[in-house]
Amino acid sequence: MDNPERIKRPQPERTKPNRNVLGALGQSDAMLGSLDAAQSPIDGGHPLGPGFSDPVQKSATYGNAGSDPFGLIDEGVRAASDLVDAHIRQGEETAKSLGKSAAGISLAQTDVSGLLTGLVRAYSDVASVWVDIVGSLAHRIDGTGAAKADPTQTQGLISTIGLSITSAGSVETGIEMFRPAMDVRPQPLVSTSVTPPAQITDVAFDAGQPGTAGKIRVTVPKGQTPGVYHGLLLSASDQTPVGVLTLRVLGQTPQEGPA
Amino acid sequence: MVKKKKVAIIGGGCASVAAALELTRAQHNGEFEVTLYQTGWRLGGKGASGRDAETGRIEEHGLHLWMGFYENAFRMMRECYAELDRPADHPMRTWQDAFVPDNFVGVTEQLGTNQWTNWAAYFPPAAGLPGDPLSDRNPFSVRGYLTRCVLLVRTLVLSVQDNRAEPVPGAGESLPAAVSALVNSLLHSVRTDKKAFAARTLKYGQLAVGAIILEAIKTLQMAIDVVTSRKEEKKAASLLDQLALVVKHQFDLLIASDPEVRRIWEIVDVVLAIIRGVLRDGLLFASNGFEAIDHYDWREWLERNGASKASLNSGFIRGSYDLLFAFEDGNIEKPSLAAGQALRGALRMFFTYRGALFWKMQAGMGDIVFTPAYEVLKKRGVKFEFFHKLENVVLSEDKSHVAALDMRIQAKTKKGVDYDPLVDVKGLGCWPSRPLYDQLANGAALKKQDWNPEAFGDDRAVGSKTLKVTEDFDYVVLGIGLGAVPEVCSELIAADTDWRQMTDKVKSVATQAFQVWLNKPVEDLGWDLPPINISGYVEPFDTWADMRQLIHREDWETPPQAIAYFCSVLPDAEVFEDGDTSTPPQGAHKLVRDNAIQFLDRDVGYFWPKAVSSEGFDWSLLHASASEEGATEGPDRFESQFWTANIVPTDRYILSLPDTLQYRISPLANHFDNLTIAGDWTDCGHQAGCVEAAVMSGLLAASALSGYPRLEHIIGYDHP
Repeated sequence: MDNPERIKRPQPERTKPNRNVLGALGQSDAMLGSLDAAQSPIDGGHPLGPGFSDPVQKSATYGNAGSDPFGLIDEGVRAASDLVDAHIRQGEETAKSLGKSAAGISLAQTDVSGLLTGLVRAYSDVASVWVDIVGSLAHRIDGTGAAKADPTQTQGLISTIGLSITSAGSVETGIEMFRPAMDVRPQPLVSTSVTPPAQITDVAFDAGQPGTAGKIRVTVPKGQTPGVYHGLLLSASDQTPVGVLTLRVLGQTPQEGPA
Repeated sequence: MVKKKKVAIIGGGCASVAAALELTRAQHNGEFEVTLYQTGWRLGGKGASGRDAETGRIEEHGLHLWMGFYENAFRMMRECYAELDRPADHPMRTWQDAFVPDNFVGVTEQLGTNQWTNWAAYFPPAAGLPGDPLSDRNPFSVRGYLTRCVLLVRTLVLSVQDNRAEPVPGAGESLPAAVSALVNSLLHSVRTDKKAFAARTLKYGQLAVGAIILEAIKTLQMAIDVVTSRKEEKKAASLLDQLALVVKHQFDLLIASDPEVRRIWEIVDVVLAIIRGVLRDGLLFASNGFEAIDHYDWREWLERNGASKASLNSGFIRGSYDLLFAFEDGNIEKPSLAAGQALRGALRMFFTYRGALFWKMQAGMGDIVFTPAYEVLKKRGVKFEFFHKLENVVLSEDKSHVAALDMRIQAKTKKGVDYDPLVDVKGLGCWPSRPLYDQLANGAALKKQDWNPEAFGDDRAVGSKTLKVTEDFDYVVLGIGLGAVPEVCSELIAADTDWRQMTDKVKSVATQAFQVWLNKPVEDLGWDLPPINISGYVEPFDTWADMRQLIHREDWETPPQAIAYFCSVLPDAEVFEDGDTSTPPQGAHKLVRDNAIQFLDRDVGYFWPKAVSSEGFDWSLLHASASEEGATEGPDRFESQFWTANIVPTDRYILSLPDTLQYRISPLANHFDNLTIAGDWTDCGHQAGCVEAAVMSGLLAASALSGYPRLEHIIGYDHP
């Protein structure tokens, strides 16, 4: 016989953590926002809400950038982190647009090569800026001050490139330059979107006459497997990427002459 | 007038204290009348510490480090310190006096037979402070974790020093090869930059590699947003496979000649394996989150997802087992750690820390955590019953609830006054390392026999007490260690299958620890890295922590120059006969002493080369109290130091073994309608033996009884 005065535990709303997709992909912002609400736990607010105030502690910071070289590096990393965040956001935007355009289409049906070409370009950007940032810090550590751009160094730089294609079939092309370069060395064009992987090796750069834009010449062999090909454009002086060449070999009726 | 609800909290560890603090919040308007029953003379459970009467030296159960992701635990302590509002001249006025950031984590790596090297990795301070309200975004999304994979690589880069490698530029026929060329070109460019510092050039290259990882994640994120089925997840994983191959190729070239770059590679390798595994095992969409892989061992799961053997044996991975004492039965040949919890722990540790990766307490854990908690609870009217040992939990006839609690009273105070448990050490309220005998009836005799009410098998009784439901309590919070549950909860285990399975399946392990005080700084003994907490070294003591920050908190006549803590598991087979861990063993104390002496003689020379000679450890380095100085020489001088075998059932460290976590019972689960449980052994969301898990469990126990805190306010409870 149960004691009528005895108190029983209230029934819990649940007994397990929410580990499913909502947890995996993030709780709602509204829920997180409530954590900051200046309410008591009884009211459903943050347990540290009312009466918990320690502005001195909350304003404490670490890693004073001005105090030691290591702090400078730390700050460099943080700056780079901001850049990374920007890339993440950019990636998310890209992904959103990808999601819209590819609604109902699986990843396998999207252009994997295009995705990866973008990937190459993006981390070239990230890495080069990163190097610049930390390199500047290195100069500061050296006591030589931040590196400044030398306007004379821009003379003779290649910022645009022409294109000459020789192909037995129809092609679509494009060049994206990441940054200007003194000289360009194109790499063979490769495609992993076709099986087996194929490549186009006859790719060369013609610097042309002084004062004129250089030109990349590509010869697409007859019978080349249709697909998207790409190749990095490296700086001849330091082998760093300065751009990417993308070429789509179409599967239509062959035509004569350069594209 | 509303009748108060009487709560009996059994045990005084982190979980019990957290539950008490929650139930006595002002917002409850005194709804709960809490009494805490504690075996022996001090709060703390496995986190209890004591002060030696002569020197004021701190004596711990083992090494306790707070991690920067202990959000709930820090929140609790910040609240305690704020509520106490200690005077300006108090040595521990604020929580930031009590906890100090530590940005270094060390691992010891084995290069070959008897060849070791240390690595002190620097983790930059992260934004915010642990316990700050979360406001920006949820840190516990898989997407967020994947982004932070890059941060990990970048911060590790900071710890990498010089190099010499000159990889051969690779060219390829495929898209990954183009990526390879990119990496190579970046590495090449920085290596040919004669103006840059040698030490910095490779960092640039490694930063570029970090960028690759970033893009792997970006690709992954695209995949996550686009795909909707596991089939497509696997396709995304194949892209990552390609990237992994590229990165691996690059690093294979480098690591052959550069161990520091190898460390970076090992982290990259593990990070990629994690990403791959998350996709392959469908963890993004698993209804039970990372629990879906808890039947795997951590190493097994990483290997299954492509991590190399070298990475699996890296210092960081081995150190993760050491820090969690993750050895079944304490047998170092049986490392075992549930993969899902290990993944959760690793992601939280490295990617959600705030302020610093580690926070070091500036006195004993008892002084820093349990003194302020005790003082706050005392002010709030909580009643403490020390020297009360739970003997049996009695169920009602219908097995629906707890009808009574049988208590053995271990000691009584003189004249019936309340026991006052704290002593003053340099202005700080501390727990003594033995009961304050002079407050106890028959205290002189107890002092003479060095009576220890926490000792295994102690059965001293000066009386008994049976607490009865409705008379003495309405609710019970069972906050004792799991090891003691089978003995005192036999009726519950007999009545409930889940309780039986929990006590059968959830395992614990004994631990051992020793502390030495030295009369020379460790730098004079040959240690040339920053003050450190380092794991991954040889047994019997794989972990060393430099605790020099405690020197000025102790009360020596002549202060020592260094303090060092060592700890590891204690194999059951070496202590208990026939695996019976419930019966007091013989010789455990001596075993740990012998292990410590052997370690100092044989192994510590790696850390402190100038502390040993061909004849072994220089025992004169051990700092002794004035009364002990000169009394002993040679290894016997170790008698002046402190060591402990944590073999008492309630002291055993809780393990997170594969295929066992599902048997834990949640404090929220209503098996007996006036009982809840609290401890790091419960199903508390973070299934590991640590302060944070214990506090989370205590919060859940309070929530089970009062509805508060709300579950979404327990940080990290709703975690994949």
